Parts: sequence; C-alpha cells; structure tokens
Amino acid sequence: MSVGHQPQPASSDADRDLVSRIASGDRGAETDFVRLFERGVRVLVRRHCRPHDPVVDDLVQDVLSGVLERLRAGAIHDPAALPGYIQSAVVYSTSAEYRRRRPTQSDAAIESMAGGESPSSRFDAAQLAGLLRALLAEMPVERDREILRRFYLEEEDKVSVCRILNIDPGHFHRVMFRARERFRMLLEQAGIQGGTT
Amino acid sequence: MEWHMTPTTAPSRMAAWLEQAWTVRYLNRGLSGEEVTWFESYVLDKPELLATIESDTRLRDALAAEASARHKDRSVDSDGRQGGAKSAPGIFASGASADLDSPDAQDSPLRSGRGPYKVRESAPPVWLAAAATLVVGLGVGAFVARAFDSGAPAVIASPTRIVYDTMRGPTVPPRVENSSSDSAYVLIEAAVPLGASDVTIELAGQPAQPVSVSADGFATLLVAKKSLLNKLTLHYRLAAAPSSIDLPLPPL
Repeated sequence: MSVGHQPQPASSDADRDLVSRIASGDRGAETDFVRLFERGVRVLVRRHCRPHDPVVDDLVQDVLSGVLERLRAGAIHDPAALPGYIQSAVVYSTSAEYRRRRPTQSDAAIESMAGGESPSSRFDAAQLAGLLRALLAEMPVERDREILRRFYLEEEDKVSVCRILNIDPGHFHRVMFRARERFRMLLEQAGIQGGTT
Repeated sequence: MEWHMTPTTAPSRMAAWLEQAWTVRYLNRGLSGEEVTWFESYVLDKPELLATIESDTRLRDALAAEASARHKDRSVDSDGRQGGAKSAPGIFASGASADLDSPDAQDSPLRSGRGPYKVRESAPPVWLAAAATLVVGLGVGAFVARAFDSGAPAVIASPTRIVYDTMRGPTVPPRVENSSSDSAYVLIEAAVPLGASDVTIELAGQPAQPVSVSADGFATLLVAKKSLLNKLTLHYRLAAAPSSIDLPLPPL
C-alpha cells in the first residue's frame, strides 16, 4: 500500500529544544529526554518482543543510552527526526537481539528462559493470566473468545478471522475494542497501571 | 472496502478521531510496514495512545501466559508429574521456534506491528469448551421496551439499524441493515472516541439528550423514522475540549 510520501513524525518545539540542549551538554535536558521518551520506548520494545521476555528492560536501556549518545555527539541534526530515530532504534535493537539468539541458542535454551524469569515476573505473569481468565469469563459469547484466541495466539489476520468465523468485518473492531476495554478496566481494578510489569 | 491510511506531515497532533482510527488499525494489524513505522514514531510521546497500546500488549501477554499455564497444568512428565512438560507451547514452544526460522523473523521481530512470537495450540483451549452462558445483554431490549409506550408493537423484529463507525473517519458512510423494515423506529449506533465524556445526542429542533456509552464504545439511540430528515449530531468532550460529529442520515 502506497502512502504517497515519506512519513514525517510529528515534532514539537520541545523536541527541537531538547536536541540542541543535549548537544550542548545540558545534563538536565538528558533527564528531560528520558522522562519524555522512556515510557514510549518501553511500550514499543515490549510490543516488539515476545511476551514476558526478560530482555525488555535491557533493550530499553540500550535504546535510550544509544540515542542519548548520538544526541550528545550532535549526530541528530533534525529535531523532527528524533521520534523516527528512536523508533528505528527500538526496531533495530529488538531485531538484533532475536537475530543474536538464533544461531547460538537452541529451542530448549529459549524455552528455559521462561524458567529464568524473576519471581516477580512470574507473579506478574500469573496475575495477568488470572485477570485474563476473569476477562474471558466476562465474555459470554464463545465467538468473542474465539476471536481473541485466533487474533492474539494464532496471529491470524482480520480477514482470515472474519472469514472463518463468518463475521462481518465491520463488527471485528467492536469485539476487539470491547475486549481491550474490559481488560484495561480489569487491570485498573487490580491496581496495575502503566508499563512497569 | 479498502481503507488507506495517509501519514500526516503536520507538526501538530492529529484530530482525536484520526488518532483513534490509526490506533485501531495499528492494534488490528491493519497498517503497512511503513505506516507502522510512522505511527510508532508518532505515539512515542503521547501517554494516552501508549496506554491503549500497552493495554493491548498486556492482553497479548496474558493470553500467552494463560495458554502456557493451561498447558503446564495439563501436561505430565515422564515421571507422571503434572506440569512437567519441557515444551510449553505458550511463548517459547514449537510455534515460536518455527516462526524464528522464517526469514522475516530473522531480520525483524516486527511484522506489521506484531511481535516475533507465535503461539500455537493443538488442543482446543479449556475455556473454549465452556458453554456459552448467556446472550450478551447489550441493553437494547430494555431500551426498546422503555421507548414504546402505546400504539407500538411490543416487539419489533429486525428493525432498521444504522451504525456509524466514526472511528474510521467522518467520511465513511454509515452501515445500514434491514433498510426494508417497516418499523416506525430506527436503531442507531454511533462509535464514540475513546475517553470521551459528557456525550449527548442532538436531533435538530430537539434539545440535546445525554446518552450513555456502551462497554464497546458505542452510543445507542432509537429514532422515529419520520425524524430522520433532521440533522443528527453527537456531542462530547475529549480531554476537556468540546467536540462533535455530524451523523448524516441516509435516505430510507
């Protein structure tokens, strides 16, 4: 699908100011940079990683420190390019991580990684699984559950899911929206906020 | 209908409905690779959009954890111990390794916004085996019952239904179902942007009325067919700013 032109991320005066301040050695600007982008970087890294992969924290650090280094060196001249640069760094870091693992780690080693999670990570995973069961229990229509399973676990695309389950594509996003909203509310009720899991 | 997203070059924020549309498409894996790159750059410093993406990622993670836990509970190792499976199919099992073998996965864990993992289950999930309990109570039935006082039939089967999927943009025409119904009333559903409050509906010539938004983000109303010639507008507040969407009524 062609989009017609090269996308440009939205920029702001704050970005412009941040880039020049960091390049001039302003340590306070570095703190502002981390405060502004840390959550976004974490959300994207998690999105690009496998579920519960403990490497997320390390990759977030890598991305932020890597971009900061480039900013300190004055290598990023166009402030409008900063979000795009950060996004590219996220994709590069996660790609490199999974590429690095592939030739050196067997499937068994990758599987055993789950057992290497910290107790708190395992607790979080168990808590999320419990919340999910509550969510699923609130979805009385089996078809809704089937949609979630196919979309998130089997990674089937929308067209495939709609065709197999005989769903009007116009209804698809409603079901997904409902699931996400209910899940978000369950998370809030459980006191789980933000991306700190 | 093929729907294309065009990234904006404007330095300011997109309109709320457009952000909503992009987010929905992103989460539903409906964006191209280039669009994903642009959108992920766009959301980086926008907490409310990040929260929506985060919630979706948590849902994905929880599903994977749930599938994994279920498998471990059911599996038995060589000594007959429950949960002894070494190859849990949740996140890191055969599906994931098979996915890793693909050239796509070798180069990038991202495929149109989704991660490199792939979870496959050979046996049907336990929760799928549970029988559906109740029909979803959308509240439509009660709403309809209250709306009729006298002279109208107790039940109107398959009334005309108009759905405004405004999250897909104001230019997307509404979906009309059962247009041949001879009911004097039309059921209207309109998508409301995520986070909207103080939602009211205004039919030209009538005072605006507050409407509640359903769990799936839709406002529902019943309108007399004879009133459909009048302009219908949905008003709401988003981030404290008033906004409105005109709902063009199709001829019936």
